[in-house]
Amino acid sequence: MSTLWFDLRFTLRLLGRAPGFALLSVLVIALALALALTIYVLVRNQGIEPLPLPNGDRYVALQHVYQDSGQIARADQFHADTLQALQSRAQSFETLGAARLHGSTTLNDGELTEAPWGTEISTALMRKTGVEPLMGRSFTEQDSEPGAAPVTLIGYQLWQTFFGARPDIVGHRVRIEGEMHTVIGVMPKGFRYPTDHHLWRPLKLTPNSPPGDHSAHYTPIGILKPGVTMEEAGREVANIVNDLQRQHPDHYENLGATAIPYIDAVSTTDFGVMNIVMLAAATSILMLACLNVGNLLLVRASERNQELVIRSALGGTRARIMRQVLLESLLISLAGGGLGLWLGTYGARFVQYQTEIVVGSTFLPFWMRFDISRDVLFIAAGATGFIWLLAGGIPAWRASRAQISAVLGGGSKGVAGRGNTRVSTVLVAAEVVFSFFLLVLSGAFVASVNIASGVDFGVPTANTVSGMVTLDSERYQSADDRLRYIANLQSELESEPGVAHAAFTTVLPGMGWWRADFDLPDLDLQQAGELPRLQGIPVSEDYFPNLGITLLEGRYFAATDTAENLQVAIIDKTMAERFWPGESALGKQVTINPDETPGRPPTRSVTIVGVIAPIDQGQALARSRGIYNLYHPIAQFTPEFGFMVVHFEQQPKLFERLIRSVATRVDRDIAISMVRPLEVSMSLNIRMLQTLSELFVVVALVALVLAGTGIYGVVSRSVQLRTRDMGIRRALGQTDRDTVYFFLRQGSLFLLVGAILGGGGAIAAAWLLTAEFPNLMDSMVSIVIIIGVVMIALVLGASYLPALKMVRIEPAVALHYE
Amino acid sequence: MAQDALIELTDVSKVFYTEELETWALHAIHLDIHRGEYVAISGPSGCGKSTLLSLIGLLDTCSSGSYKLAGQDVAGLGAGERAGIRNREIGFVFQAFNLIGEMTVYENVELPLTYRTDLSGKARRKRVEEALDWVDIPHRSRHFPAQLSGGQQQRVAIARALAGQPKVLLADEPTGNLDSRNATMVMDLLDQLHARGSTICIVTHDSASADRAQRSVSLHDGKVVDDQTMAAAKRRREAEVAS
Repeated sequence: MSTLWFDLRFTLRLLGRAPGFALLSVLVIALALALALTIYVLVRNQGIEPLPLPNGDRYVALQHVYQDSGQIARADQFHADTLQALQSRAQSFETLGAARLHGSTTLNDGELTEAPWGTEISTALMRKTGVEPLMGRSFTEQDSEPGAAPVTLIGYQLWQTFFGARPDIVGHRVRIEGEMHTVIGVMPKGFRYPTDHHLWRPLKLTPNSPPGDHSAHYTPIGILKPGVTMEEAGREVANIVNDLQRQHPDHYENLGATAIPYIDAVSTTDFGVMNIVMLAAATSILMLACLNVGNLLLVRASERNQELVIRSALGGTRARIMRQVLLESLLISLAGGGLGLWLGTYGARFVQYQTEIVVGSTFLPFWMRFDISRDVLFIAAGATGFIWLLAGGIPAWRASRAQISAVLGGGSKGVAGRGNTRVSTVLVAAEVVFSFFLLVLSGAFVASVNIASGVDFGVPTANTVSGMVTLDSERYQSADDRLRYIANLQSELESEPGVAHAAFTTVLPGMGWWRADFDLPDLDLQQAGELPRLQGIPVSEDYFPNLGITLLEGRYFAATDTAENLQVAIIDKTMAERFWPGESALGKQVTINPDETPGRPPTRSVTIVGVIAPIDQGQALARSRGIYNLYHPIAQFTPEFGFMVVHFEQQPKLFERLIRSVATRVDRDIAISMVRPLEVSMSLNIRMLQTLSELFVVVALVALVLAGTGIYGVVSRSVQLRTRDMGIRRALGQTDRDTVYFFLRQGSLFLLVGAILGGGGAIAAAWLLTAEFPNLMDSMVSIVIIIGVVMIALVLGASYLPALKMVRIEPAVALHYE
Repeated sequence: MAQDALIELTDVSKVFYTEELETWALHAIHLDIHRGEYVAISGPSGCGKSTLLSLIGLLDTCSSGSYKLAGQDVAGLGAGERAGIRNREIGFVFQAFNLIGEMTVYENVELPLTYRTDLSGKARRKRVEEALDWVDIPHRSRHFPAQLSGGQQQRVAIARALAGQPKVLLADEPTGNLDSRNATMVMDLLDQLHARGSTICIVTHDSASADRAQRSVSLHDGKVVDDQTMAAAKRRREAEVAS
C-alpha cells in the first residue's frame, strides 16, 4: 500500500509539472464523455431500459398482427372477448390486464371542463405497480365489477391544478365522460402509469363478452412469469387468437396476435434508426477521445522513456512499470470522467428542457428520466474505464517493453524506433479515418435535419390558434353527432368578438396521419406495378379558404358534400402534376385501399373536385418522398378527433380561456386540449428534429475539436519523431524543400486513406439510412467537399508547420536532437 | 577458485542482429568474479565493455553461453525474475547518474526498495537514511537532482545502489561526467565500499580509476584479451614503458 502511495505521489507530481498535457487530456475525455452521456440520456428514454416498476423488465403489450402483411396493428385494438379469452387461457403471464391507452378524458366539475389524459385500466395492473395513493385508497376488485359505483383516481398534478389542491378531494364527485364519479384517491407526484396518464378509472368488462362487441378497444398489458420469454408469450397468444379465428372466422379474419416490448406499444415517439445513429455517434466520439488521449499518453510515455528504463534497471518488473504508467492515465481518466459526468448533467438538462417543450411536461411518459441515476453513473464509469484501458493500456504496455540495456550509455536519442513509428502511423491513420467518418456523417445529419425542420408548411399562421377535440365517447358514436358538435363549436366560436373564422381539420400541418395505398383507375397504377401511398385528411368545408390556401383548380368543399352525395376529394398540386401532368385532375377517380383486406379500412372511391397549393402534412422525421396528400370533407369522412383552427382578427391574448369557455358552452363533457398558437403547434412537430440537429451540431463541433487537436498532435509528433532521421538525410544533401515535401506527401497519404475509408464509410452509412432519412444524401456532395477542405487544412497544416520548424534547425543540431 | 565465484560467465557470446548484418559484440567470454573482488573492465570504444556490463547486470540476455550469479543459473530467466535479481542482488552506478528528475533525492534512493514486497515503510526509511548518511548527503534529501552538482548526483546514485544491499555493485564509467575533484571523491567512496567487503565491477576508460581495482580485465573486439591482477598489470605496463 505504501508503495502505491509512493507511485501515486510521484504521478501527481508529474501531472503537476505537465499541466498542459494533463488539462488537455482531461478536457478531451470530459467533452467526449459529456456528449456521450447526453446522447445516452436521450436514447435511454426510448425503451432501452426496463420500466421503473417492480419486475419492469417483464412487462409486455399484446398487439394484433395483420396476417397478410405481418404488420403490427396500432395500440388499443383488442376487443373485450379476445381479452377475456386471453386472460382465461394464457399461461405465460403472472398478470394479464388491459388499458385503453390513447385518448383524453373529459372532466367537468360543474364549471370547468378539462381533458386530461386518462385511462380505464385493470385494477390488477394498478396494484402491480406497488404505488399507493397519496391520500384515499387504490382500486379494489369490486370497483371493476359491472354495476359498481363509478370511481376514479386522480394524479397529483391534476389535483393541484384542476382541483386547486382541495384537501377534501377524496369523496368529491366529478363528471367524467358525462358520468358522475367519486374521487377515491390521489396518486403521488410523478405517477403517470401506464404512459402519461393523470386520471384512472377501473376497467369494467362485461363477463363473457360476445365476439363482435366492438364497443371498446383495449391494449392488453402482461407481466411475464419469471423465466418466460416475450417470444414464448407471443407464440402462446398467437395460438389462442388463431383458435378464436377458427371459431369465429368473421370476427378475426386476417388478425393474429403477438407480444411486443411494452414501451414499443405505448410510446408515441419512435426514433428507431435515429437511436442507433446517435449511439454510433456517441461511440465514435468516445473512440476519437481514446485515440487522442492514447496518443497524448504515448507521447508522454516516450518522454518518460528514460525514467521508465531506469526503473526497470533498478528492478522494477513489467507489472510495476505498467502500473506506474497506468496510474497516470487512471488519474487523468478519473478527472476527465468526473468532469464529463458533471458536464453531462447539463447535457441531460438540455435534453429534458427540449423534450418537455416538444412533448409537454404533462405528457412525458412516466419512464422518461433525465437524472444522473445509477445507470448513467455505470455508463460513465464504464466509458471512463474503457478510455483508461484503451488509451492508457497501449502506452503502458509499450513502456514496459522498453530496451533497458539502453540505460547504459544514455539510450537511443532522437530516433524513433520502428515500433514507435509504426504505432504513430496507425494512430494517425485511425484518427484521420474516424474524423472523416464522424464529420461527414454528422454534417450530413445536420444538413438533413435542417432541411426537414426548415420546411415551409404552406400555411399562414398569423393570429391563428389550434386546439384538439376528442369525440370518442359513447355520446358521439354516430358521425352525425360528431358533425353536429363540430358545426356548433365552429359557429359558437365564430360568434365571439374578435374571432374572424374557425375551421376543423383532422391533423395540423407537419403532424402526419394514417397512410393508405391508392390506385388511379384511369392510369391503372396497380397494373403498372406501382401502388403509391397517400395521407387521407378529413377537413371542414371552409378549412382551405379560412386558412388562405390557394385554390388552383376546381372548387373547395361545399355544404353539399355530404355522406349521401358523391364522394369527393381535393388533392394538392404535387399529386396532380405527378399523375396528370399537362391535364386537369378534376373529375379523376382515386381508389383508396384498392386491395380491400379484412381488418383494414374498406376500399373507398373518391372523385377529385379541386386542386390546392401544397401543404406539408408529413411528420418531419418520417417525411418521405412519394406520400401524397388527399383531403376528404368531414361530412363524408367524420373523424373521432381533430383540431379546431381559430383565426382571430388580431393577435389574440386570452385565447385559451375564450376557446375553453366556448367549448364548455357547447358541451360541458367535451374539452378542448392543447390550445396554443398554430405556429407553436406546428413548430413542436419539428422541435425534436431541431433538438437532434443541435445535438449533431455539437457532435460535429466536438468531433472537429477532437479531430483538430488529435490530428495535429499525432501528425506533428510523427514529424517530430523523425527530426534526427531528417538531420541525417539533410546532412547527406536533402534540401529543405524535399524535407517539407516528404512530410506533405506523408500527410496526403493519410488524407487519401481517411477519405477512402472514413469518408467512404460515412457515405455508405448515409446511403443505408436513406430509407429512414430520405434527404440524407441531398447535401452529401457539399458536405464531403467542406469536410474534405477542413481535413486537408488540418492534416497538411499539421504536417507542414512542424516540418517547417524542423528545417529551421541546423542539421548539426538535428543530428543530436532528443 | 570457481567455487567462490559470485559471477561466472562461461563461453558467453552476444550477437546483435540487424536487417542484413549480425554483429558479435561479445565472443566466447569466460569470466569469473569472486566475492569481495574489485574488478576494472577496460578497453577501446566499441570493444563490448558496456555490453558485458549489461549482461552481468541482467539488463540484457546472452545469445549463448552460461551465466551463474551466486551459483544460480540466470541466463535463461524470464524478465520478471531478472528484474527481481537486479533489484536484490545488483546495484548500478551509471555514467549519466540516471536519477529521476521528478523525484527528490530521498525518493530516488527509496525507489528500488519500493519494488520489494518484504520491506515495510519503516525498514525502507531506515535503509535510505543509512545510505544517504554513508554518502554524506542526508541534508540534501528533499532536493531534486537538478539542484545538485554532478558529484552530489553521483553520490546519490551510489546511495541508491547501496540501499538495496546488493551482492555486487556495477559501475559504468562512474566518473565519466565528473571533474577530477568529484571523480576522486566518487572513487574514494567505491574504495571504501570495497574495503567493507563489497564486490565491485567497474567499466572505465580512466586508468587512474582502473588502477584502484584489484584486477584488470581488458577487452578487444568482444574478446577478453587480458585478465590479471592490477599489480601484475602495473608491472607489465612499467616494463613496457622501460623497454
